[in-house]
Amino acid sequence: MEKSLEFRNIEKLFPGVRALGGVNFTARGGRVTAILGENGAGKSTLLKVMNGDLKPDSGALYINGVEQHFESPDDAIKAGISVIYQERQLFPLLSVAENLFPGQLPKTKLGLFDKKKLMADAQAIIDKFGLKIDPRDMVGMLPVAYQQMVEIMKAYRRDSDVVAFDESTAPLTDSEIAILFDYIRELKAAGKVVLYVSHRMNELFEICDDVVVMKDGQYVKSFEVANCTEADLIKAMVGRDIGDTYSNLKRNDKFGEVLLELKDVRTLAIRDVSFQVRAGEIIGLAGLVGAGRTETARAIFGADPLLGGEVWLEGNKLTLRSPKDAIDAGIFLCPEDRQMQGLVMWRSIKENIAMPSIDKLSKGIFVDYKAVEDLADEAVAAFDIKTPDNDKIVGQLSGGNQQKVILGRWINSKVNTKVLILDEPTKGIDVGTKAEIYKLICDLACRGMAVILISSELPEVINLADRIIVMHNGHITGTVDRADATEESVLRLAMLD
Amino acid sequence: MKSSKLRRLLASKAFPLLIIFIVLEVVTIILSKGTVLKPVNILTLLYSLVIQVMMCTGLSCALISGNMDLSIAAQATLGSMLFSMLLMTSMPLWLCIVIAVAIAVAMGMLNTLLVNVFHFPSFIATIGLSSIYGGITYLITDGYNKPITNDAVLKFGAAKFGPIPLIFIIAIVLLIAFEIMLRKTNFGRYIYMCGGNPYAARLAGLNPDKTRMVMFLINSILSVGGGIFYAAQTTTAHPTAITQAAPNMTATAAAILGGVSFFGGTGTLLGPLVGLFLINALKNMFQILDLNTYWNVVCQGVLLLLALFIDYVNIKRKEDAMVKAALSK
Amino acid sequence: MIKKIVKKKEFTLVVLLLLINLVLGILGIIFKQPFFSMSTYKNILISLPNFAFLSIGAGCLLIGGNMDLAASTVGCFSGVIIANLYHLGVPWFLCIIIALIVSCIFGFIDGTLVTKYRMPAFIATLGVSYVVRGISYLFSAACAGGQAGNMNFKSEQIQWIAKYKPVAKLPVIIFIMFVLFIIYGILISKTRFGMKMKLVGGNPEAARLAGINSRKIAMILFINCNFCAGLAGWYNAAKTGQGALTALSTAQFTGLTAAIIGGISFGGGEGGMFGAFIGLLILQSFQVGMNILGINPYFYTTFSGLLLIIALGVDFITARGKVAVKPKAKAKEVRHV
Repeated sequence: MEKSLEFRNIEKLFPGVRALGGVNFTARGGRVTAILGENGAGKSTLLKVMNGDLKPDSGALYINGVEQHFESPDDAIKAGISVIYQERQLFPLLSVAENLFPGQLPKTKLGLFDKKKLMADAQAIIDKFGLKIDPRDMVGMLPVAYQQMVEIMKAYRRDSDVVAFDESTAPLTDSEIAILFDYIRELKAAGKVVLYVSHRMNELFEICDDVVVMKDGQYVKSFEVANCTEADLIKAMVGRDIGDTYSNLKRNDKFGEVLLELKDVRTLAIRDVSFQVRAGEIIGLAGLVGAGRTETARAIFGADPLLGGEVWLEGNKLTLRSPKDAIDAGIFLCPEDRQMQGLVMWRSIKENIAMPSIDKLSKGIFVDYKAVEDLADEAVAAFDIKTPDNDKIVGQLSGGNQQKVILGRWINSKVNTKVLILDEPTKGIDVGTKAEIYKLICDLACRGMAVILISSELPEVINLADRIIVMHNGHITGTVDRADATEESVLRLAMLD
Repeated sequence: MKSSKLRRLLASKAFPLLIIFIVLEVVTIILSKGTVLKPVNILTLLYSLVIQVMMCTGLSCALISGNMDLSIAAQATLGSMLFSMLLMTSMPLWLCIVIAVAIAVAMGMLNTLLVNVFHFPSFIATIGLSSIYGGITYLITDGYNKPITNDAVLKFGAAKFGPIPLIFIIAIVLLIAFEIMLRKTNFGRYIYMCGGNPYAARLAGLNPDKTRMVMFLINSILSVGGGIFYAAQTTTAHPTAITQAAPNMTATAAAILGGVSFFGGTGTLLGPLVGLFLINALKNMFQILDLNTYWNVVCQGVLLLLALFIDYVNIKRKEDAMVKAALSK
Repeated sequence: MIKKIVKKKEFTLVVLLLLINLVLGILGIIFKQPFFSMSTYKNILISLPNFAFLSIGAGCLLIGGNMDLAASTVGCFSGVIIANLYHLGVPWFLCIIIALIVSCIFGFIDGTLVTKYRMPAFIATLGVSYVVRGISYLFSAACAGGQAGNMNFKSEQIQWIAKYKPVAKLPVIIFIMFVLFIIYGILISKTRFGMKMKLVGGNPEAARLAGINSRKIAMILFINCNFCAGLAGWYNAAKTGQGALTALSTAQFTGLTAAIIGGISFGGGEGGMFGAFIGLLILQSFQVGMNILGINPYFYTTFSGLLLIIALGVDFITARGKVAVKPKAKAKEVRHV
């Protein structure tokens, strides 16, 4: 019987967000099914449901026609599912061989650990993949590409009926990718179900048979690779009903001098990043996950050390040793992870708002609490933060209000905002608050600030930005002006090598 | 990337320690004009090593599984006290031994409860437990020694195989047994996995909670056992002797020097053994040189910091390599 | 206004303190050892300074998100320095100054090990505590020209801090202690350093991304903790007239317990001096109470251990101490560009 993996009516809700809505499709054995979709389309959530990390709120998974319910990732593995993630789940301090057989080490007749057999078995797998790895090597010492290959070999050993690859080629070099593709072809020949999540179009067309397109947590359409073009796929990925969210925004049309300029900026994750931002301009930084947008933002903000290149503000070269230097210059960042990087969750709203301005809100060594209170009141009023009082701890606020607290920190009478960088400001936020944030962004531009907006929601970027800089793999692939900006054009650049 | 066993041995943390130890020993032997090799001195050394080895082995087991225990000396003291008191009652020896084991198990389970179930930070929780055990010890003894009154036990503590004390042999045998378990049984390998990456371990169908519990039990049993051996050999259970002879610090320093990572998931039991030899060799050498014994204390601390510094250097080297790789693209 | 006070953690602590005193008092009446008396309270007060300094130092450091297990050994060394230097004829004020400077130096060392060399705080400070203990013995031996020992000394000026009794037969140290609690309390709750410190303790990465110099604050707190320990050592030496080599050995634990009972969360970023003070009062009420009731004094260590575990439990239940709340900078995966 042909193997198959069916998603039937899978739904998954998170507070305020519908991550997956009625996903329905079947992946057939003996074929490679690609899952394509932009950021936030629901691919990762779907994989998490598949491997048992998340339980669907409704609907179920069917393997070979049998309904499955997983209580833990362990159940999924036992049911024959292997997901190969980018964040590897290996034991860095143990040998390659032990990593290949976690939980299933071979035993000798005496019941002892059979190291010889383990090494031999491991060597057999490594040889099959044609890699030059010693099974006794410590995994943590291997280069990242080889670590990923170990992860892949783990799946091979499990001999699962369903194997899913989540952006697995990201850390691999060409030679390993070739090995991986050979392995995938073998899986196909063996009739296994193979899922392939990637945004590299050339890979899709090389190795996949079917493509499933997802958008906004929904299944959109299936294609057969043989019968479609890149343009078809991109068209299916984008195009949605935006409604009036963006039509009422008062945009700025007067741009000033060049405020911020990056020249050949290079850090660990990005290189050759150069662009200019004028006063009053909104720049969108677009790209798929891992493209280097956040890393660029952090470089501008001084959060990561610059390995090369320069950052100029108002015609002055900046020395950025830490975020404080950027803040003093007037460059502010709302970080990607609100809770881990942006807020001190157990402290009050007013403290979180006052954080960068504490020295300015002080008289000598003492904090001027009246000034802090006033500042908090100002921010709460300006951003309409819903809270009965400013002493409430930030952890008790909703996501939208938390974001407003961070915004209130960077936009008030005590700070001189020249450049504001927003990294995924509307992630996990309700529609109403989103609209407020869009209005704010336009206001800031009208006031002469430069805004850099990083967002995985293409409609946001396209409708708000005056110019969109697209990144892929750590460097800029192209720039799109507002007039020419469509989701297709941006997405095409985002997937360009 | 082929690597031979020899190369990995040379690269291990314990190897330079072994060299240093050998050098120290040679120096000590020369300086003492051979007195250090006198049978009576070697005997004293071996006796003092017994409890250190037992405690260090237990602690290393706990560390490898991802936990820390700063109450081992207190457990040993309390255990030995209770044992000697049990012996003074009219209960048969075998029953006393069973109860002693039960006490050790209870201590191990208490550790498991606080650290694994309630997720208390292990070092603070065990410091608290340490003083609780200490308090109980004084409560039942009023600060007095409790002599071992059972002849069989005393004989056991003094027994020797030729020049080597029986209890020392037992301590080493236990160490080797546990090392074999860690290296050669699947359960042992699973302990490393659970200690190093509990999430991945669960994915592989393992149970980190169970392995941590087992390691805590081993830890407590070895600590209490060591305390009882010490009492048997010195013929009294003393409320403060163990904390002097084998302080927590020695076991911890030896473990870290021996390559057992603070964060769990790596290390052997032989490494800490070498660490112990090194620490004791230092102590000996200072005694021979008639230097103040507290040079020894300073050195232990310095060695511990050195071990941590080596960790830092390794991390820094990795980071610099990443930067270099990024720059060369 | 009343509602606000009642909601605060410190209110619960004061209530707890009063309850404990009540229970001890009742027990006292039952066992015919009077608890409620001036001398009882005087005893409690007098026992506080032993631990107060360490409690303040450890508490501040804990709020800032770190800990230092070497503090009490540094304090002990400070006492040893004072006693021995004075014995050698060094002028009294220099003895004290040198001791305090040395304490600060160790604070600097601890801070550097933790912030620059990224060593896990408590193992690194454990190691340093050993080094300091050794050094103090060596120093004592060197000064005595041979064997290390507890050096006795007599100096009116140095011991003024413990012997001078201005009011109601209470030594001046009590007032100094109160003043210090108040000063540090104000520092933490009302100065900009205090506010930054709490933010750093709560989320060091977020603080850094808001322009706060987390490393500088950590260093200052480490130096302060050891400075306070140095003060504790001075007081101890002054009170006993001796630079004892085993001084302050239980004080570390008591100081830390008092801080945690007082609501200074183990996860950092929470709590204040008032809580630490009440925590200390609670612990000392127990000790003095047990003394009066004729309970074996060693029971006290058991009890404080028990209290520590209960305090951790409460911390855990109110979810303030949960490590998950205090995020560390995640090691970012390197992408090959």
